[in-house]
Amino acid sequence: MSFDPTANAHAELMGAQYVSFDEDTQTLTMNFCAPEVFITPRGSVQGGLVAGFLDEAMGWAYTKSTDGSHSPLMIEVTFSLLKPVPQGPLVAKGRVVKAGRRVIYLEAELFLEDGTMLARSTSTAIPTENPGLGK
Amino acid sequence: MGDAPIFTTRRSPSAELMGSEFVSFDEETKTATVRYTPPPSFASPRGAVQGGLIGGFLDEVMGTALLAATDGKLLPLNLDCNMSFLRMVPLETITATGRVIKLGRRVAFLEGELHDKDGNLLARATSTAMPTAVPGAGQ
Repeated sequence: MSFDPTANAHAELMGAQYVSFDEDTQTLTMNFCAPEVFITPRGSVQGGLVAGFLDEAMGWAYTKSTDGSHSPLMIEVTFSLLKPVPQGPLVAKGRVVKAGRRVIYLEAELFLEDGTMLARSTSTAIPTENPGLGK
Repeated sequence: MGDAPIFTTRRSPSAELMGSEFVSFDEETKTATVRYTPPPSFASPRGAVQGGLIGGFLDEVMGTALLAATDGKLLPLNLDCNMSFLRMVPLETITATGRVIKLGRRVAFLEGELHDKDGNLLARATSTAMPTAVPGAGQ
């Protein structure tokens, strides 16, 4: 299967890099690099844009769990911002909590490289055929 | 001096990226209206804005609402944000409205909505935030 998170404009913007997927826990690990254009006058990533990283990790976790055949269409995303997210390298873990036929539940966490948790999210989504397939 | 209020001119890298254009602020309803033009780099394989990045516009407009409602003094530090995606957000200019639901001393409740050019509701958000002083205020 093709699995190249950098093949999309938004993923490239966020410096997305696939690391691994653990079948047992349905957990995907990926790296990001928060770009300078995401920064606010506070000197950290704009809060709303933090959801971009979380969405990406949740989305790829589901896509990977289906061997690339399906992607989630997010209906709702809820996220908590625990600490300011700095420009530079980040690590995200996305997990498939439950994949039903009509509804999927996902979650993600965003960390600094040293393991400090910065943000977390949950999402309710519907499964769709992978729009990136066949390219 | 007749300087324009900060919320009409503030251009952070993130606001710049999202092509933010201030439209208006309504004192009575504490509602800010801002137009955004998503950059091509926000596109997902579906050809629309990646869901999470939609949070960028919603956060920005909710922030503008609080900033305008406090005469340019306070910005929200978001703690929790809940977003619903009703339709795909196209890569064309969208109109966002942000509203201050309640501004307390320690917590602010905000909401935001995105509409396309035909007035269709695309996404909505509610946020719980801490009001904090504008970084670099007084410069």
